[in-house]
Amino acid sequence: MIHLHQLTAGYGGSKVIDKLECRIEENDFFGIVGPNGAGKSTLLRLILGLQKPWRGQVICYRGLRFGGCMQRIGIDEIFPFTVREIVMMGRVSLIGPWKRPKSNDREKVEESLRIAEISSLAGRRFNQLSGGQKQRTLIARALAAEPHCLVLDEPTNDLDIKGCRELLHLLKKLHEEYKMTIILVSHELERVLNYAERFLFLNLDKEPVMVRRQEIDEAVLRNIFDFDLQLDKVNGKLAIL
Amino acid sequence: MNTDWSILAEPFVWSGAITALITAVVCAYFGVYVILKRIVFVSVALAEVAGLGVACGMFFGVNHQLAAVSFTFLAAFLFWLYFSTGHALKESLVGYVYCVAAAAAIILLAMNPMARARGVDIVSGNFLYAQRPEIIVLALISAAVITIQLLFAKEFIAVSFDRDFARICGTNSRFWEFILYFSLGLTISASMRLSGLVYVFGSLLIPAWAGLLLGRGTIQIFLIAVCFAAFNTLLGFALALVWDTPPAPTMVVFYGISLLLLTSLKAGVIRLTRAGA
Repeated sequence: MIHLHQLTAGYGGSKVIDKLECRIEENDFFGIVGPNGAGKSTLLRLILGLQKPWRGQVICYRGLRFGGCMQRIGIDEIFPFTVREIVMMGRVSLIGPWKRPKSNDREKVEESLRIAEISSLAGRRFNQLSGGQKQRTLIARALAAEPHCLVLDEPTNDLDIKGCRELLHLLKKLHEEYKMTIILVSHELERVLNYAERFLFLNLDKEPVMVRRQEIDEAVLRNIFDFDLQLDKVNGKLAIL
Repeated sequence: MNTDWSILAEPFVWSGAITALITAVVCAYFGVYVILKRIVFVSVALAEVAGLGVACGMFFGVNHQLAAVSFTFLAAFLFWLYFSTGHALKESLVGYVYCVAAAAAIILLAMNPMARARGVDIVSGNFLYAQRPEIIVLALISAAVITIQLLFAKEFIAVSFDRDFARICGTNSRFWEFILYFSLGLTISASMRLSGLVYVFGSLLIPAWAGLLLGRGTIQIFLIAVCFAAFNTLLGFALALVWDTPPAPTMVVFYGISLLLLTSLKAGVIRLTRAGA
């Protein structure tokens, strides 16, 4: 679905991604994990075409549509839009210039609200919602764009443990029930460890490491993070202690 | 201060009132974007550049509206370039353009004895000098700009709210942002000679603020901003003539007083509602 071929990129003159070679397959749940400044968001911006690589290529299959949920700091909450209005923004490019939303656009918006479990919030103002509700609104907006691949940048930032768990369950549902390919960026491995199926670990001054969830053990984590982490299974789930 | 209401029947007064009303409505509409996109100082810098265009046009003997549009187009292009690439020094650029344009306009007007004779006042404007051809050009430009805004409202709104998302979905964010900046520049430059900096800036800022204060949804906000601008403009204009005060500053003072009243009223209503709950 997406092939990152010898990708090299950075920002402000400093290289953060160097000759990265990686494939993201259809129906993948792909986690990109690493500390702040490791190049996670840069990689996401490269995948989404928001930034050009210094060298190498991002090769996507023709017609691939992304649904993006970038970090909320990029959104100015002074805007007085309702949840429904924001979700409708996901349809803008599909509706096309000159035209007004038709009944199928409105249906798609309602369906997206339903999937994101925020139908009851449709008439509320975005800037009056909680962090978790805002994140769901942005996911619903991305779903309204009928994407093949959902891309999320630190979606669990600022969320309490309940909000975080509910959001990750929603992503899991989208992946399992709706067969959505998901690319999830996070700096908190312990939060996303049980949700993503494959991981790309980015770390400053180290080679990127790509592993499946089943392959993750204490030795792998030590190699990636340079210190000892205890990994246990609790009720069949991985837990970092 | 006289109270001779018969002056309102004079044809030049109607020309001035129509000019002020067109400027108020278009600027109020754009003002909503200006506040939401936090480009208030971009708009005042564009107004200053338009003023420089007028001063240049008059000094070098070329059509001042054309000169104002050309200058503003260049400034809008520069701002778009800096703002759409997230340049770190964008605020400094706005400040630079503002002060250099203002200084240059002051010098050119001081060196041009015809400017004062023709009623040119870059700061407070002079609606009473409005001529029919100028009003027609202003009306045509305003109609074109508003038509574009209404036809592509969803694109402008989507790009203003979250340009990255719009781009991910296939909308050409940079193109629509450029059109937005250019339309803003065009609106300002078309009205600058007659309206002056104070009135253009006031019309961009205060009515939109009133809309955001009272409106519950997007359409309401735009409608309230436009109605607020139209009401205060007509009232302020009429009273400025009756009281013999400069129209543009008087209308801006009316904007200010109305906004204060609305803010107090809203605060009072909220307090009463809370007390009753």
